[in-house]
Amino acid sequence: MEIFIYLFVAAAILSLLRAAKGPSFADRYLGINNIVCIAILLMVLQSFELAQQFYLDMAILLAILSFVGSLAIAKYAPRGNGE
Amino acid sequence: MIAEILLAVAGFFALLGAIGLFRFPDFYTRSHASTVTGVGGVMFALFVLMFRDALFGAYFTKILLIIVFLLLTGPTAQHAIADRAYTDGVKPKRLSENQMEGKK
Repeated sequence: MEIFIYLFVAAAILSLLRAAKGPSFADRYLGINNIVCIAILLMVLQSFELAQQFYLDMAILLAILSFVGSLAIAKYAPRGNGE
Repeated sequence: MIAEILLAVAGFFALLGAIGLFRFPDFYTRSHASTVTGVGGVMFALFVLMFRDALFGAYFTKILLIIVFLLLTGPTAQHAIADRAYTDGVKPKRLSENQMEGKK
């Protein structure tokens, strides 16, 4: 039951390494977006474990905020940051 | 039993996508690998978790809403970021300058 959580956490750690190291802002965005996706999944799992439904609302909120944040990055990231 | 096997498969796909995200050479291939984590890992696991609840119960409906929202907004955000990276001069690694401009 619990082993797949470790697989997702390992995926999140690898994405964090890419976000720390990525040469351009777009690579950092990819790492952060992966971490947010995995956080949504872990929130849904937490809602099943604790039998609390508001974690699902938090997951929906996180999905909406990640979309708005990625559009803000696409519009307002500083110019000339690519290699 | 079946749910645990499918969740383990989803975790394997997520790890596969993260390894690709860490090791691929340039931004465009990395965005492909990140999609493997998003769809093959997270959305597959959400789809499995969705059927733990009764059909059209509260958990079922909310997780279905999350899946539909992620499927709608994920490609849109990815397209915006890739467009911005292309106009900002992030280059594909194994492509020459002429191929990038569209000439032969």
